Amino acid sequence: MKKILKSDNWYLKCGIFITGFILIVILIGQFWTPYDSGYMDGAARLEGPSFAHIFGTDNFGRDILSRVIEGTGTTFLVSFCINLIGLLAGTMIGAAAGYRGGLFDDLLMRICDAITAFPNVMLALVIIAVFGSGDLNIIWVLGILFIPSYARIVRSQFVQQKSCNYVQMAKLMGASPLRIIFVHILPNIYSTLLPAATIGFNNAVLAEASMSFLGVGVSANKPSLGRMLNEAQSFLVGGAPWYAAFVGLAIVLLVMGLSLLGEGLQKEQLRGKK
Amino acid sequence: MKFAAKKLTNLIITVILVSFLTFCAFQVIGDPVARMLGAEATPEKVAQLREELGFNRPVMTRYLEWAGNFLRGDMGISYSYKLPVSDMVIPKLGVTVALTLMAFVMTCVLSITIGLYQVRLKSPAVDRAMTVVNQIVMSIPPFFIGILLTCLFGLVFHLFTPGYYVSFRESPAGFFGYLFFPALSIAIPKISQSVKMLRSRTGEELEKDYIRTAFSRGMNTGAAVNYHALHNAIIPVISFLAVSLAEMLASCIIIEQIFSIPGIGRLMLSSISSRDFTVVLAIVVILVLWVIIVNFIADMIYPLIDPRIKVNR
Amino acid sequence: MLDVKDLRVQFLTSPHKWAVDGVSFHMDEGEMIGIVGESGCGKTVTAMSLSGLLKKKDVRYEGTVKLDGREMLDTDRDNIRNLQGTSLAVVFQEPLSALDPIMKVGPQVEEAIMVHHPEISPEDRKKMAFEAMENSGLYDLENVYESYPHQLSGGMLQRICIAAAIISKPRLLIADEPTTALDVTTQAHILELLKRINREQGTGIIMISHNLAVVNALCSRIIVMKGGKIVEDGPAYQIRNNPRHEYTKQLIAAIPTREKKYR
Repeated sequence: MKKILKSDNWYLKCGIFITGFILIVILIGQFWTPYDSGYMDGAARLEGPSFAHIFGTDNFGRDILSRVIEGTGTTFLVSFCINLIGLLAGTMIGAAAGYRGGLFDDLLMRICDAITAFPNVMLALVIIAVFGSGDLNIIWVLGILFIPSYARIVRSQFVQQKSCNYVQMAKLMGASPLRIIFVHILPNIYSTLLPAATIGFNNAVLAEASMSFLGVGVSANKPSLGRMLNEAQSFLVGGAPWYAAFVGLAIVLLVMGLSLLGEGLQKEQLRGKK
Repeated sequence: MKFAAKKLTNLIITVILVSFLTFCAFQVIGDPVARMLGAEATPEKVAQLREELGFNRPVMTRYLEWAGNFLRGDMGISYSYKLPVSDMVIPKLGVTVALTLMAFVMTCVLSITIGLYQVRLKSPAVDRAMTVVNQIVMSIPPFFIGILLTCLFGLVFHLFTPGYYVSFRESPAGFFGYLFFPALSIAIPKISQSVKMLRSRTGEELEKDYIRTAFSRGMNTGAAVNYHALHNAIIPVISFLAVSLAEMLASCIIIEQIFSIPGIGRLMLSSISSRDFTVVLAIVVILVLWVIIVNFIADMIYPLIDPRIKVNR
Repeated sequence: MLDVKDLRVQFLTSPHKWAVDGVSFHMDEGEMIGIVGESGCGKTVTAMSLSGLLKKKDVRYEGTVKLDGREMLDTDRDNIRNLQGTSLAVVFQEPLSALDPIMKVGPQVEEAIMVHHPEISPEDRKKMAFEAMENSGLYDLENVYESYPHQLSGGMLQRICIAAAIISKPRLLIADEPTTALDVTTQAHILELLKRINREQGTGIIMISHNLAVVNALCSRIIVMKGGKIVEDGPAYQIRNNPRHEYTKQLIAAIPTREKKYR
């Protein structure tokens, strides 16, 4: 902790600070929010920020602050799951492709290239159009779409590490491929994977927010930042711009925290290499 | 030329493969028959309609027929509107393409100008300030930028009227005027990304040995940046810009929603919710074609700007 | 011509250690000096401070370096820049990374002229480049001029670097391990070339190397460095046949010879 505070890596410092702050708010939000996020106060619709409602109220008279806290939690959780699916499956595929090489590797990487050529949100929309937007479909669809980018990173690392002496040594000593992959190589590429995973998380947040903004995110009864922003948009003209502002601010903070964190980690890793 | 030919074959194979897969996906899931008949669907009627629509023939023949028709500009009939899909899609495609190209031109012009300005800056303080601002702008997703621009320029400064789209036929000037801010919302995130990329790449290049060589010949930093570092730094930025043309199309889908522009993205979203699959299929194939062609162009640009890529590999 | 007096260099990242700790020597016009020592002994730092390539914000200097009576250390950047590429030129270790990867090598050869003599027309500049390239033992000049670095071999690239260094007819050429990255045959050719440049053009050369044999083959005078200090400085024959310092003896013993192998 002291090391982080003293370091001159401002990206990492700001990233940890912002993301930490958001995490704490989300955690608190699990137990306590100023109001029940679903409670509708018919007498206080679209009210501006006040002491009672710091962020104001929406068109149903719900407290925006409580909904933003809960929505951030939803977005965070959904993005986390998306990223986790992509990371785990991508690591498996990338490790297998990179370790085995040959036709198998070529084929997998071709498919990955084809998928990454298309923008995530567009592909996700198409798939959701085909399969329908169920409650958790968005997580699976986006999760699968996040696999190729991880697979690529892990593969290239594996190809690099495979020719290293320590792997050759392990092979000579008769270690099984699984042991080499999990015990020898994976711990060595951790430092590359960590920043990549953080940046992937950031992309997942953006993708989730875009999808729920378009109305194809997780189910409507859970507050989610993208969907709230979409609702808030109709009241820009109606004289409640703060609604959109606060929701948007939450998205921006979340994205900024994660991207700074990712970049900070990347800088740290590059420095470690030197 | 060999390079181009090889890439072109790849391109055609990809197009065929992807369009076939999309077609299959929509055939398997998007069977519209039951929905078209609604409550009065009896097994006989369903079978009869399936026969009429030709759903009983093998997928391959239907794909070939569909692809042939598609190439001739016939994209089928919309289930919901009973209109030829091409009549619905093509005018809207024009709007979306105009929006995307506007955004692309803005991105290229502004990111190179701002990027060059920042790279050539003499003052570290201004450089730092620009980096901080850029970092913040980069974190704003395009749809929120759209909302901010609507608020600022639409509601506060009244530079345009949100929601009142002007078609090209009504007034070309009004059309492009209305598209200006949507295009800007698509462009801004890309601009900040590429400015950042140019800045950090130039910084990295300045640490390299060949810059030390340039210094050993008495070059000053400014000249070394202009003469050596920039050329090297701008290559990845140009290819990033070329590829981002594909992503801009995806941003279009969202931005059209915010600024209520009757483009292909809006049509796609409404067709998805009304499960009008002939329309969705047509749009998806068009979008896919767009992405593939853009990537092809990006591949072709690469050897032109980077002599290290061997063209006749 | 070159006067180094009590030169001390310190990197601000390690403020308790002098990378170069009180180096003094004098170099005459057209002399060929070799500086040898193990890696980290300060020979490269010495060379880089002589050529003014260490960034002012990274290092602290003490002492004086005078080239033709002009102070090199305590002067502003512009003065150093006026010397770099005119009286002073540098050849680096890795020819491939020392050249701009996406620029044709021809214009890079001309660069010193372009920087210091913008009044010379591009055609004349090209003529000068061809002359320098020919003097560096390159042939098929038209083709080479239009090549990119990745299309040429290491030996050719090092010749390009040398051509770029001698195009302005410098009085002092600093070669920092110019042959280390090359294979043995090419090494010999490059050393031969440096010797010829010294003989024909009267260019003073400071040759940095960790390899005493290489320096010995080339230079008339050898400076041996260890731990940032000069431990021995004298004519090559004397260093070779009658080394006085223990470290020099070790260095000579480290040169593989036939007799030793069979002993």
